[in-house]
Amino acid sequence: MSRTADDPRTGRRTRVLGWAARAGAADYGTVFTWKTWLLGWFVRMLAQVLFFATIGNLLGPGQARYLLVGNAVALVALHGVFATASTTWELQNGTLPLLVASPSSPALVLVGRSLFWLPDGVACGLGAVLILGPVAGLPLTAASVALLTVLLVLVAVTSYCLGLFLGSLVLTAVDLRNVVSNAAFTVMLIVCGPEVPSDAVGPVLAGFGHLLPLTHGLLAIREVLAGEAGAHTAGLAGWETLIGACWLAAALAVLGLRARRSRRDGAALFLT
Amino acid sequence: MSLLAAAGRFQGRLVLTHRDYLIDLVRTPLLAAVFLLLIRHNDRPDLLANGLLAPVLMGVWSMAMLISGEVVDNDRWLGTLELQIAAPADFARVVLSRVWVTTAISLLTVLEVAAVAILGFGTVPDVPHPGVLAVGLLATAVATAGAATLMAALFVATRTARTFQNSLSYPVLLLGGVFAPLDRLPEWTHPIGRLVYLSWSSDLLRDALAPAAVTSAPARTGAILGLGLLTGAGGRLLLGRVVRLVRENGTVGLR
Repeated sequence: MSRTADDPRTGRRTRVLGWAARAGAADYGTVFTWKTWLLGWFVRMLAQVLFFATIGNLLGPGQARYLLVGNAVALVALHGVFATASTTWELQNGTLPLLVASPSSPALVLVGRSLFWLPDGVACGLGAVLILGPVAGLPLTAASVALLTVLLVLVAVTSYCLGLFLGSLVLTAVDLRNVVSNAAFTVMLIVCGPEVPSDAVGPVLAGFGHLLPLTHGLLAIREVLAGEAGAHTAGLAGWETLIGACWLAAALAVLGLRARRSRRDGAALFLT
Repeated sequence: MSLLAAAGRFQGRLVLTHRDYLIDLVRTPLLAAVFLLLIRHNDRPDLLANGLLAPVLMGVWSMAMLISGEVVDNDRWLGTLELQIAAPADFARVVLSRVWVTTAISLLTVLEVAAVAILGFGTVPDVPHPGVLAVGLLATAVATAGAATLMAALFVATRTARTFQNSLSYPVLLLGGVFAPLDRLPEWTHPIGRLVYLSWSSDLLRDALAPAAVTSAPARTGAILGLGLLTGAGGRLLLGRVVRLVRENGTVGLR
């Protein structure tokens, strides 16, 4: 018999995920107020997009718009990859042993605890396109903005899955969390197409880029903003979803494996 | 001199063994690849100097904010702040020495970027004015140390500064014209941008890599040094004030 939403196990998992998301949001709430977010974080993100758009302006016609869109969407991916660092916060907070000892899945909690990055990333990416797009002559319609929003959410989720996977690898190497997430994001800038089309980096790196989140989602967004949304765009979104699902599966597999090993040998700290 | 050596040895070991502090030494070569790809893809070899200097200045600035800026704040976390303040050595001198060592380590990014250009892109950077480049880099290092000292003091003086630590990256890099010169931005930003020493540094260092003669090099170097020394002096004053305050109030470990 298949499980339904009424299945008590499904309900329990949803509740655990919800509590984890609330705990993560509470963590985030200690860092920013809406004023410091708007005047500090959001301005910094806008400046990042403007920085690259200004480079585009220097490089040649059409490049400012190309780099503006690429880097605005990359911001969304950056927030997703931040999950690498926030996944390790459980160890820093001293709550990881409690998660391992609890009857629910630690992986489920870790999947939910960094979800606060998603609305943050989408807000920054969408805000950058809406505020800076008109400056670069980017034509925006209500329909294109609606589709853009949907695709930004998709990129946020798929990048989050990659962030979770990386976080699962550095779960107990806390001092590597920012090195890994920043290096991963900068590699994504090279191979996923925000700065140059992926064919400009050679077949090997382009092939690697196609296995990462952002690449297909960004191509779909470029089609939408060029007024060319269609079946091909939907296909690209499908690929982006599939790649995100694969990274999520990989993250869950690693987290599950580490939790099982930790419970079995009593380390209870993911130290093995 | 022994104080400088001891503080330098400590900070050098801290930077090179604390893996999170290696973030910019890992990111800079990748950023160099991003900029050099942009230049190659758009067939703009005339912008090579911009592409080479941008990742260096970004790395140097970032290390100043992330590592040097945290010098005092980290001592508080490590529990060594009280001991340092109680010691007879001048606290501000210890901080300055540690900031200097971090700034010197951040100049390794010059070698990293050169390696990416040569090994990854087959481009050997041409330096028509090596003297101006050397002096410009040295002046930039002095100014960076000055800005970092101010940040280190601000982190202790006010908790709000830490919230804005990450936010000081791209706005400053944009106004500092590290890739696209400041004159590419709207005119109203120029007076603000000229208060950022990076805008003088990036212009001077780019000119050092261009074949044309460099004009007014001493005055421009003076502007970099002046801004750096001004922020450094401000940082030192603030640091002294904070230390005096926590000594008087007995709140060294509590602030």
